[in-house]
This record gives sequence, structure tokens and C-alpha cells, in this order.
Amino acid sequence: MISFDLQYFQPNTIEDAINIYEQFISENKKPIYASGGTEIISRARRNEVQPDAIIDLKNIPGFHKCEHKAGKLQIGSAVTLNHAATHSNFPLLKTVIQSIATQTARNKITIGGNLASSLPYREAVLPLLLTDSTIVLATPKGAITKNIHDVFPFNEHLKELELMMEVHLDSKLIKHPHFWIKKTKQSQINYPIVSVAAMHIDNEIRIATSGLTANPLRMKQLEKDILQAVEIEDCLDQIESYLPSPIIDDMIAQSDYRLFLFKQIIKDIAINWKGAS
Amino acid sequence: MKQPFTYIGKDIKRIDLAEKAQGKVRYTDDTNIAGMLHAKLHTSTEAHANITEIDISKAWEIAGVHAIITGEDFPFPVGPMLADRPPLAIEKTRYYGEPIAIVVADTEQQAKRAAEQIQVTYEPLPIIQSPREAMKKDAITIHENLGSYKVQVEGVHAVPGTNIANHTKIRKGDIEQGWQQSEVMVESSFSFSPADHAALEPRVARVEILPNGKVMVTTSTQGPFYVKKLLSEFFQIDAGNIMVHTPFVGGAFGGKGTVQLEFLAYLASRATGGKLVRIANSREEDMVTSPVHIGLEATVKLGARSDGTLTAAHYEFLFDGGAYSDMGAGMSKAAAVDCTGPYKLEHVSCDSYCMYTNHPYATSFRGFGHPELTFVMERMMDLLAKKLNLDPIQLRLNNLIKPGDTTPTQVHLNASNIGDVRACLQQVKKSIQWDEGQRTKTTDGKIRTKGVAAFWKTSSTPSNATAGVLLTFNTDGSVNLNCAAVEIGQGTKTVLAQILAEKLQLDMNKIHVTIEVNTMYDPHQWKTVASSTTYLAGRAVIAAADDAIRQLLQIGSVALKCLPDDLAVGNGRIYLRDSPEYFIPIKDVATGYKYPNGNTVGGLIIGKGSHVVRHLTPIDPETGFGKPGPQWTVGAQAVEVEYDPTDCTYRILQAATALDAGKVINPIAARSQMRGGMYLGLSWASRETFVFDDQGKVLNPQFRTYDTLRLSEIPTYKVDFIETPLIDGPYGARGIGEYGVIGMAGALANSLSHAADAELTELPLIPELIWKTIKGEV
Amino acid sequence: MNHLPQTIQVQINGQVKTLMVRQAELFLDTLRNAGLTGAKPGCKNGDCGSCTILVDHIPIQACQLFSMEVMDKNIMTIEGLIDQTVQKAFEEKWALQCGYCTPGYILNAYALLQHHPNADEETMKQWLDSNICRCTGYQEIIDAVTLLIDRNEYHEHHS
Repeated sequence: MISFDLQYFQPNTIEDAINIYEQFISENKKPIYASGGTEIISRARRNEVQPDAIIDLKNIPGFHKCEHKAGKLQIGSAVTLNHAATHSNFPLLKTVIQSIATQTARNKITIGGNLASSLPYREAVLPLLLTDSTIVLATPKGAITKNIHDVFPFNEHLKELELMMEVHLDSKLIKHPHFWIKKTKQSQINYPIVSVAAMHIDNEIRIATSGLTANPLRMKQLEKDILQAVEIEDCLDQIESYLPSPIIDDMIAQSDYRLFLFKQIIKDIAINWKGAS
Repeated sequence: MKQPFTYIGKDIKRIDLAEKAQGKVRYTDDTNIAGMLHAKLHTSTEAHANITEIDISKAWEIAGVHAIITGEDFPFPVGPMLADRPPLAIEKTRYYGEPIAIVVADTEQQAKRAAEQIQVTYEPLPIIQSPREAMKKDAITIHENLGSYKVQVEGVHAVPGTNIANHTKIRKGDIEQGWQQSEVMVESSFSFSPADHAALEPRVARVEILPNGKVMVTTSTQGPFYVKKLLSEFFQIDAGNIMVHTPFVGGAFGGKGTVQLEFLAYLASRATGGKLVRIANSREEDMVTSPVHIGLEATVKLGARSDGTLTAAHYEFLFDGGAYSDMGAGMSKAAAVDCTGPYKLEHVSCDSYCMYTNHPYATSFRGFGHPELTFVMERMMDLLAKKLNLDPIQLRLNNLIKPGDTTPTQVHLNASNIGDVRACLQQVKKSIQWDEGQRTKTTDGKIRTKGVAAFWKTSSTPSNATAGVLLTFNTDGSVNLNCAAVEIGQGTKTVLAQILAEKLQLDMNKIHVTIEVNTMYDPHQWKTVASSTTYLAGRAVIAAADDAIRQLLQIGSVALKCLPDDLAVGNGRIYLRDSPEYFIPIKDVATGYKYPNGNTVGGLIIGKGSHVVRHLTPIDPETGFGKPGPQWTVGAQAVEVEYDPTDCTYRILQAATALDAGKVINPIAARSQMRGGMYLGLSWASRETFVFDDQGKVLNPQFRTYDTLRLSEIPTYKVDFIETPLIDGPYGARGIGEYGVIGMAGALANSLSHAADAELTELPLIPELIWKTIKGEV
Repeated sequence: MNHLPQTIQVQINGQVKTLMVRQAELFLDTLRNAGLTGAKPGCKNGDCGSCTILVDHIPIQACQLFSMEVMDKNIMTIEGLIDQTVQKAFEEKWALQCGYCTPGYILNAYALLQHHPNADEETMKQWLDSNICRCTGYQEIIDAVTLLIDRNEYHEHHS
């Protein structure tokens, strides 16, 4: 039960959505965009967020697409995780998605919602980081397209009135060999202690990880060094230097165990794939 | 072979299956009553602090608020064993999540909104987060007035000036002599934090006070009469003026065996002039504000001869009872009286303490201290086996307790009051394929290991625990069974109906059981806890059936012109023993037998029966001498895991139980009870715990982060029963409800300790714990 | 527009209902206030599945829905599942004890069988892992749903 009052909008166009948002801002009130809304509901119940308005984007037509068009896989931000898993034909994306929350919850959680989560995990982004996706952003001046590496994490890079509409990625990349592992405290359903997605694309090993630090990471330097390293242990010994922020130490796991698991996963990837590169 | 029973020992379908499968049953909170008010709590954000101010002014500004109640409105402590807990915190708060104020409003949303507006000013106090800290000489005293609290139940020994809520001592034999006889000794310490019951239905209660003074309570509880008793005692209400109604209960596991929300709902109703007020826990409140599963720190020393014969044992149990003693004081005693597990030991000493800490307070959890003590004792048995280089099962077999031996509290065991633990252990050894190897390696580098645990438990009921049954008849000759046993999912009402069907030789569909309980219409019953209902209420059913049969035979003898002794009851008839074709249907006598000329004799047949435990005694405060329960149900369990040494993860492959049930009344129901218990035990042992921050705040009061074992992760369950009858049990049956839980943590920890080659001494057994234990960091 | 309660129209169990809801209201509370108490509050956090309902044939936890969101949707709750096949299988296998989690399980299992009448074990477990049961130990629930798959109960309904 959400104890405070709010206004709920389901605009049909992105322009309307932005107008409503701007209207609330101009009145010094807090609007919030929602697509699945699950995290907002949970947090609002505990008063961790108290928006004056929910602007539900799922009635806006473009936010629903999940298709291959013009050589690109295009996924709208209000596409549910389960829909994306089934209709993207992207094996790694499907595998990653199916380890997020529960099957039933994934009927409500959306791609956009997962990427914009306030939690560190946001695992649906990992395949998108590996495929150097582009993000189509709605802005008051119209849609703009940006490289995912320039706009993710959204909380650090997006401006107040910008919001993700779609993600696009090269359709040719989706069938490349992939690797996925998620380590949890115990039940597989838990948040990850650490999870790693990797793809083998044109003699490259691409690696992205979640749960290790405050944000999901694409680890480009590590990818290069693994390929060049004579001894994988050399990379592993200094693995913390590849991380932009401290390893998380919390009730899910202490940082030393996280690091241990992460090193082990990277070692597995290197051993299994290095020869093939 | 001829089956001597018609209904006992048969897979009789649960009587509540269809209703439940269709979602038609109504639990306490499934009733929406016009005009009902809603209460919501404001709870403490501090684990230990003086409350210097409670500002309720902003809460009153919310529309729809009827009343706001704080500790000052009822400044008296309550509690089932030791009255140490104000229903709403006064002057200080002792745990994170403690109720501080209640807001009553027209809607739940208004009540929640208003409760959120209450501002409490705290002055932080040092926080005690473990029972060992609480035991330290210089520890802050959580209850300054411990000496002034009223002892509700004989045998609770609080120590004023300390954080000890209860101290139970066991002194059997001569411990010094025991150590002298010992050729090997093992000593180890164990610990785990509080966890939760996490029944799916959060606790909920409604109270209305009628103009004539009657207090009408509807609540999800395991003890409707217990609610009545405590409300009467603490609020000075005549017991006869309290009516407690318990609809279907959505799981309990011991957590609904005590009284909390009912007090708050009563205070809320009283503050609104007696209006009907509902209070329903959120999941977070249910996990943290309401009582939890107890934690423990234990140190055990075990002595044995070199052949493995146990010679002496010393136990120190420091239970983490949390901020208030509630039933924690009873569990610390229950663990002491059965401290040795099902092993013969002549020289035993045990000091078991229920310690106050600044954690949420504990109440009974399925097994009542026994899953906890068994984890500790069964790890010790494996440590000893390792030291002696003996097979763990062989070591246990060499030491099992049996008729002729005595328990830690010196109760003499006989062929009836204890089951056959040897047969259980041998069965479980077979079930888990022990002889195929306790430790094997798979081709992909995993390690498969097996671990066992043997266990026992007596009921630790009060010495006057009782149950009653009323039988009335319908004009179609069918019977209504009224009994205050609470159906919490365990199938108790089906089992009671089966016992009645057997006694009356009457078809199950002719027996109508009232599943809901109402203290106005059902005879008194202690509580539905302690695996005692089949025994207590089952015996009451037999007594009531005997009473009804006696009446039926008497009227039947008038109708059939013979002596009552010539007759028997069965198949809905009263018939001549030697010529069953001469009979009269029960329906023709149940409401009075009418002669052809209209004259009627007999009146209504009303069967009544009750049973009370007998010969139980309080235990001696210095030695523990005494009889804590009528009998000991025994069993053995085993677990097989597949362990991955690269990252310390594991899968639970198999879990086996063999239990001496005395007599299995309903095999499918009994097996599902066992599996459910095994699940709960494995889930607790492998992942369930509260995580506290350094301020004593619970970080995971939700299923999102309070991990439970999920459907895809269950092992293959194997359940077998041994049947050594309990002479005074109904058809020989022993209590079995809790027992599936008891040995699971010990068996899992033993299996994993073998797998990881590291002695695991903490719960829950998460991969990170194993990793740290191997590294020597635990 | 302001934050006063709004009227929504929604089809529940085949009947069109007009309901007045707070805009911040969650659909689980709306349903239960309307007397449809088969959906149970177990966590109100999307974690336990006890309030699972079908929204346009897809299982969703009612606690994770704003009531405003279900405007014009087709809702099925346990009260509306006239087809007794799944319920009967749960009875046959004793796939319940206290019964509190049961409506959520039954609707989830029903949806699974509608979408995947021949679900393999992995798919079945993936779906059923969405719900928590604290009583049974889960074996009987697996048995009940396996029974339905083995009997091919829903094959002809699926195109």
C-alpha cells in the first residue's frame, strides 16, 4: 500500500509524456517516469521515493517494439523482460534476462525499468554493453541517438528531461558465442554476488559484469589484456585495477568473496576462449 | 494379512483440499466488514535507545484518524512466561521494529500515512548484538527492572542485574567422574543468528468490544484459548467475556503460538470506544516487529572412551532471545532437558540461558529448541567420529538411548515412552545408500557426500496441557466434531476425523469437522503446538466417541429390546453383535428414539471427552530433575549434497527421514508433514537468517533478500516410518508435526563438512561461509 | 487532473466492473476491497507470488500493479477460474497444506499450461519458482503440475 497520494498518467505520445513531466517540474513537484513500475511501487510503499506523478510510458506505441529491422535489433524501453527474451532472438539476452527476478515478475519488469533501476545490478544491460548498442533518447528537442557507453549508467549521464525510448544493436552480433554466469548468495533467484556476461566476437573477447561494483561494467581494458597476457594470473593479480570503484561489501557478500568469484570466472573465460581467439 | 483398522493408517483425503484448491477458504483478513477501522503501527528505527519524545501532532492532521495510542496508555508489561514486554515501548526501545505507537483510522491508507508522521526522538544506548556480549559482566542491562517482572510460568529463572531471562541447569551423574572416564574429548563452539518463520499469511487480528463488555477477537493464531487467557490476565477481563474466533490459518510454524497483535488490537479498540479495529502486519512487520526464530551461541565438550562410548558431556547454550523473553525462555529450557540428543550419557551438565539482546524477540519455532540443539549435538558427534576414526553412523549406533536408560532430567525410559531410534538410524542409512560411500567424486570434479543426524524431542508442554472434544449428531445420523485444535496446514482436523471414523466405524463423509475455532463453542484446548494435538485432541476424540457410543448403546438397547452389551456401533447403525441384520440407524436415536406410538426416549446424544497430560513435573532448578513431557518421538535424517570445491557452492541431492511415529494415522498426510518439515529445516540451515547492521537494524526484512529454498532447488525426499506404539497414544500414535525439521541442519552441516573438509560450525551454510571456514577465517 | 480517486473500468472474471480507486492504489487492494480475496497478500513486494492473477492471460502479481494500469484489461482471479482441471490436480496430489499460497500457484500453473501445454521440466520449474510455499516442501506442487503436463490436459486449448 502506498500511503501518499499521487497522480497517475498514461500518455499516448512521448510529447505528452514530456509535457506532463515539464509541467510538474515547473510546479516544483516530482514526476517520475515508469514503464513496469515494479521498483517504484516497492520503494514508494516504503516511502523511499514519493513522486507527485507517475507517468506510465507503456501506452506509447514505439515503446513496445521488439524487432529486427534494417540490420538492427530494436527494443523499446517498455518491453517486458519476458517479451524481450522471447522475441529478440538474442540468445545471450534471453539467458541473462531469465536469471533476473522470477518468471512472473519478468512479465512486469521492463528493459527500460531494469536499466534505470536504483540497484547496482541492472543485468539486462550486460548484453547491450557487449554489443556496443545505441540508445535512442527522448528529449524535449526530439529523439537523439547515443552510444550506450556514453549514456549508461543513466543516473550519471542522462539529463533531467532525457529518457530512454529504445535500444538498438547490430543484428549480426547476436548469434556469436556467449558465456553467462551468475553467482548468488544461495538461491539462484537472489541478486547476484557477481555475474559475468561475455561474447566472442571477431577474435575479441568482450566482458561485462554486474554486482561487483556500484554499476554494471564493460571491461574493455581487461578484454585486451587477457588476450595479450602470457599468464592469465598476471591479469588476475591486478584485477582490482580494472575497476573504477570499490568492490561492493554488503549483506549479499563480502568484497573478498566477490573478488574471489570474479577472478575465478575471468580465469574460466580466459582458459576456455583464449585459445580460440 | 488382515488389516485391523478401517480408517487408521489409510490415505484418507484431507477434508479441506477442495475448498483450499479453489481459493474459497477465508483466512482472518479475507473478511471486509463495513465500519471496521484500521490500525497501523509506528515502529522503532533504533535497536536500543531511550525514547525522549513522541510527537504525534502531525499524525492527528491526517484525515480519518480516530485514535493514537502510545506506551503511556498501557504501561504494563505482558508476556507468556515472564511478563517483561510492554505492548508498546515505554521510555526505551529494545529492538529495531518495536511497536511504539498505534494509529487507528477509517482506512488502512490513512492509518499508515498518519503512523508515518509520528516523530520519535531517541537517545541511543549501547547495542547488544549477541548473547555472549549480553553475558559479559560489564554489559549494559537491557531490562533494568528484571527483578520486578511477574513470572507467569513456574520454572523461569531470570537473574536480575544481568541479561539472563532464564537459566536452566542440568546436573546428571558426576561430571568430574565422567571426564575421568573419558579417553578422548572434543570441544567446539557453534552459532547462528535469529531467522524467521515467514509463514505466508502475515499475522493479523481484529478486536471489537461490545457494549455489554464482551471482547470479540478474530485472529490468526495457534492458540485461540491462549489469546483468551492472556487477554484476561493482562487486561483484567473476565475470561467468559472474551470470545476468540480463529478462521483458517495461513501457516504458522510456531510463530503464531504467542500473543502480540491481539493485545494491540484490543488497546486500539478500547481507545475508540470499542469499535471494531483490524491490525494487519506488513511482511516487514511480520518479520521484524513480530517475534522471530531464535538464535544461538553454544559451546559443547564431549568425552568418550576410545571405543566411542560416550562418557560425559557439558553444554553451554546461550540463546539469542532478543529484546523480550516470550517463548524463548521456554525453548532454552526445552533444549536443556533434551541436550544430549538420543544418546545414553550418565554424566551430563548443561547451562542453558535465554539471553536478552537488542534483536527482535524470539518465540517458538517448529521444533522448539530442538533443530537448534540437534545441529550442535550432531556436529559434535561427527567431530568425535572423526577424532576416533569411526564411521559416524556406527558411533551413533554405539551410543543410542533405549528403554532402561534415563534422560538428562533423569526420566526413566521404557518401551512405550521412547521410540526406536536404532531402527530409524538403520532405515535412514539404507535410504541414503550410506554403504555406497559417504564421500565420492564425480567425473566433473564435484564431491558427493552424505551426513546424518539422529534426534529426539519431548513436548515440553505445561503440566496441565489439555484438549477437549464435543460430538453432536445430525438428523441424518452424521456427526459434528468440535475441537479447538487449529488447522494450520498440518491436516490435524482430518486426522481427528479419522480417529472418530475409526471409533464409530462411520464413513468419513458422515463426519463434519468445524475447521474454524471459536472459543465460545469449542471446548478448551491449550494450543496447537509441540506436536501434541494428535495425542491430546486425539485422546479427547476417543473419549468423546466412547461417551457417545455408551449413550447410543443405551438408547439402542431400549429400541432393540436387549442389553447395551449385546450391541455395537458401526456403519451408522446400532446393531446386535451376533446378528448385525438387527439394527437401528443412528439417525433414529441421535435426537431421541421415537416409539411407533409417538413416545420418545433418550433426548440428544452429545459426546464429550477430554484429555490432559499426566505426571509432568516442573524441573528442579539446581539439577533439572523432573519430567518435561509424556514421551519422546525419535528419528534419524540424512542429507546428500553435491559440492563444487571450486567455488564452495552445492546442491542438495537427497534428504531422508526415518521417524518412529508410533502409529501413522494418515500416511500421505504424515509424509507431506515430514517433507514440509525437511524443507523448512533445509531452507533454514542453508540460507535463512536475518542480517543485522552494526546498529542492530535488520537489513533483509523481505523475501527479496530473506532467502528461502525455492521449488527448483528441492532434493529428492525420502520418508519412512517406524511404528513403536505409544501405549497411551491414540491407536499408538506419537506426535510427529515438528519432527521433519529437527535433524536437517545437523545432517546438512555434517555432509558439507565432509565435502569441504572443513568443520562448519555456523548457520546458514552459504557458500561464502564454507569458503571462509576453509580459509580459516571463521 | 488532480489526485482524487478515479473511476476505472476493468473486466474481472468475465464481468465488466466500474471501480473507484485512489490513483496510488495497488490492484491487490482494489481486488480484495471488492470482495475478491483469493489473491493473497504475502509480501506486497513482488517476491512471493501469492497474489498472482492473470492480466490478459499473463500471470502478474497484483501487488505490482497500479489499479490505474489495469483499465480496460481482462483480469482473471482464482474466483474466475471455472475450469477446475488445475484445482483437481492440486487436490489429487495434495499440493497444499495451509492453502494460503495455493490460489497464486494455481493461476500461475494454469497460465503455464495455457502457454506451454507440453512444458519441459526446466520451463515448468522456471515458472513455478515465482511462488513461495512454506508448508509443502514443493514436491507435491511439482507432482500436480507434472501430472497435468503428462495428461496433456491443455493441449487442445492451445493453438
